[in-house]
Amino acid sequence: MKNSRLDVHDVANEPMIGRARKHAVRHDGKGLEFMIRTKWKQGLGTVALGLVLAGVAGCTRPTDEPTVPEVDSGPGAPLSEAQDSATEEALRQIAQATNDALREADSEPAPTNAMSIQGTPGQATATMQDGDGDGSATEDAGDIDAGSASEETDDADAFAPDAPDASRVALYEPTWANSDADGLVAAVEGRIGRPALIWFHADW
Amino acid sequence: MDTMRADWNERVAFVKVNVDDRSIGEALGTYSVRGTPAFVLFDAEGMATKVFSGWPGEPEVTGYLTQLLQ
Repeated sequence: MKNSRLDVHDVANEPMIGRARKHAVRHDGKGLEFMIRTKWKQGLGTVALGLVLAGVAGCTRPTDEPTVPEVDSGPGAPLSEAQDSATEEALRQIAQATNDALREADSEPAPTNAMSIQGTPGQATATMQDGDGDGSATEDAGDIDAGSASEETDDADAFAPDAPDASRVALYEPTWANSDADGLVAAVEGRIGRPALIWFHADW
Repeated sequence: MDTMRADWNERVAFVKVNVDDRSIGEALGTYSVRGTPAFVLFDAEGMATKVFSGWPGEPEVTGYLTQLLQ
């Protein structure tokens, strides 16, 4: 006849570990069941712990990881390492070319065909003359300490602005004819250059 | 008018327009010219500053011209 104490010893002889064995000894006749339950709980705990760790790892982003904007190089294709290295190489070449150009520009002498600067400090006068002789401009350049600057050009149109100069519009001189319709139009358009009094009259 | 034109022509242009001239038809409506004589005073930029229906007299016209030139 089996008693519960024998069962306990039998169960106690089973290979168990830790608390499960201890509990199995303590609870008569229920050691196996308790062991299974304990193991089951331990398994659940392990799974839960794994899930928690996985979740923490998934939600945590390393702060030292640089944020790189995604480059759409195709329909859903991420930027490959080859493309990345090619881009870096291109950028490096552009930077090198820019530096070379700037260095070359710094080393070139100033162009002398557009403007010649001569004189001594203190002669702060800049003179600009038109090649066709229709006018000249002299400007007192007090803040120019390099001397006087003279500019000559054969084509005065090089300085002409894009918009037509109002002063160059041909003015209309009324004729005092019996009916100067052109004079009326010129007065309306402001092409006479002075106020105008229009006299509407009739022959009859 | 000829005398006034001789006195002012350096500073003010005088223009005669015949109302029978078909090419100025729109101007009659624009400046409300319904009879003759009529006078329209323009500044140098082409802005109509005064319309006279009939001859207002030389002093009044001279006053407007002087005011316009100031």
